[in-house]
Amino acid sequence: MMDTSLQAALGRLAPHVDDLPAWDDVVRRADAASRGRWKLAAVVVAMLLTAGIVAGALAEGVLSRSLDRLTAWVGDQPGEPAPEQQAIFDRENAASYAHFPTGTRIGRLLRFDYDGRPHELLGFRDGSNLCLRIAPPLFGSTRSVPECVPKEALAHVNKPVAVMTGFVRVGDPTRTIIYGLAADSVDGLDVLENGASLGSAYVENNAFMLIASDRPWPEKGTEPQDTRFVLRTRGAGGSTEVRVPFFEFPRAHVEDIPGPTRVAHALDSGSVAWLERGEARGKPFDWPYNFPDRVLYSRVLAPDPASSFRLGVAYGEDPDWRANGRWYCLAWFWPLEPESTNRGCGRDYLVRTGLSYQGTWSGAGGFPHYVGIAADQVARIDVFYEDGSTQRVPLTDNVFSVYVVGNQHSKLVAYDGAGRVVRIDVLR
Amino acid sequence: MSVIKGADPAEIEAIYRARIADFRRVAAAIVGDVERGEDAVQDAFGNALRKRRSFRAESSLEAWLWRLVVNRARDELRAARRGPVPVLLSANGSTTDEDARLAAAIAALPERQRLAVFLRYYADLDYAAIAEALGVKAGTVAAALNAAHENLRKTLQEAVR
Repeated sequence: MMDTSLQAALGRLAPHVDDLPAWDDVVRRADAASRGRWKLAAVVVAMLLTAGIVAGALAEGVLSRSLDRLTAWVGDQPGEPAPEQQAIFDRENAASYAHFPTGTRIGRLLRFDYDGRPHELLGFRDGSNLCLRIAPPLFGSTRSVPECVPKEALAHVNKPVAVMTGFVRVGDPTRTIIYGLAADSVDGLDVLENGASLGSAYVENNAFMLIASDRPWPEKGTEPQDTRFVLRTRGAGGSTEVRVPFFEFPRAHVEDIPGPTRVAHALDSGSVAWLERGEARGKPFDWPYNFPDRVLYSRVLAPDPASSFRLGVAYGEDPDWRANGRWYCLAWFWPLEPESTNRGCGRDYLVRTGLSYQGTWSGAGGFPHYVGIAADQVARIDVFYEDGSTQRVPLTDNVFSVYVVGNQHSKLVAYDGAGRVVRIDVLR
Repeated sequence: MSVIKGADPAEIEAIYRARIADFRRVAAAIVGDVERGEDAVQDAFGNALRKRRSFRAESSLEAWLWRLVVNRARDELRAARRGPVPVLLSANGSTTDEDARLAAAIAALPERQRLAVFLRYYADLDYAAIAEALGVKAGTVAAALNAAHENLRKTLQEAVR
């Protein structure tokens, strides 16, 4: 046994260290070392690389409840290096109106064949978003649109897999295609259509891809609402079934979803003052579209600071339009897209209810995207889900952009500065 | 038969966050330099993330991490060492004669004894955990610590004469 004087002396000699964790640095070191090994391996054993030997596993902390282990997404580049795709991405990113950050690193998550041609499912990060992209494009289009989802939205999936998107019976011959993210605990994934196996998905690097041969549509009159697609996982976490939200399930009633059910304070004079008085927010933007006829002011904004998605806004008037008056217009800009993918103008809803927005989803609709403009009277917007969870909607310079989870009923609730509910919309 | 279990990255992170000061203190003591000790800890945990699938369930995860940190710090020491084992600096920057003698005595200990002292008194590990971290039997740890105590006690006694 040590005497107290010796123990005290050792205590005095104990080095004084910083106790502030630096976990991000640990992850970077793990990532950097793995990339270094890849460069070496690429030179020495190129054949093995093309056979799909995977670099040493990385590790990661918590993303969400069930999708809580996405090891391949550690660091700034998910999966395996993909230098050829990186070059293509960099070129397209430089040529588009909006841009992902310079230095965004593309990783290959898995390879698959479609119509006899090799394809890759790529992954990359955009701020707090996880993005997937298929290369080359599946359907002969010249460009492959990335699908991005914020980590916050993943937290509401409550399942070990998240469908990013998918397509039913597309192409010639037709195929059903579903892809998305899978937690570490998922080793395999079977897809069932109305209880019958449609096939098994490739699962690798926390991503999955199903390419299934065509099946006849159900008899006339039973499609598509009665068609149910289900993912059945296999792996260490056991088996879980996840419904694919291919088709709009019946919209819920406002009372069916937790949260406010009534508007407490109706708006009748909503406006966006900074836009109307021509205040210099965001960046300059020359509204290039025909409507409204006379643009009084326009800017381009970043509605969600954690995303590279950009939103053009315009305030103008169009005397020829039947509802004479001034209009608020929005134009969506995604990186990698040479021009706006979606745009529209509105007025009444913003003035009367405080919000004017559009929603869009593609294919399986795993994460419908809602983008809009809010009147000055709107101080906060939340999404309420059927499981009782809530999601704060980023609101910057009166514009917002939010992804909601497609496999839960949800509603959007807007509040004024006094905390009163000014609008409620059931989204799904 | 050993069982390859693989380590959960979230558990690795949790241990890192919970015991970061202890890991850094031990590594700094081994290396004889606070910054290089911290660097060794960061490297060791990066290594743990990469090699997590090789973790075997036959030992505790924390012991495995301690082993990685100790080994990385020893590598760092070997890479940089030009002379005798570096002497610890006092925690508050001032060093008494007694502390200087003790520091020199620690530096003069056989490596196993020195590592056992660091793990016991700077990380508060018990004998079994030290044994796992150093890859020796618990009895070996007890013997090493007894011998270290005796050597250090003599140094202190000589210092107060």
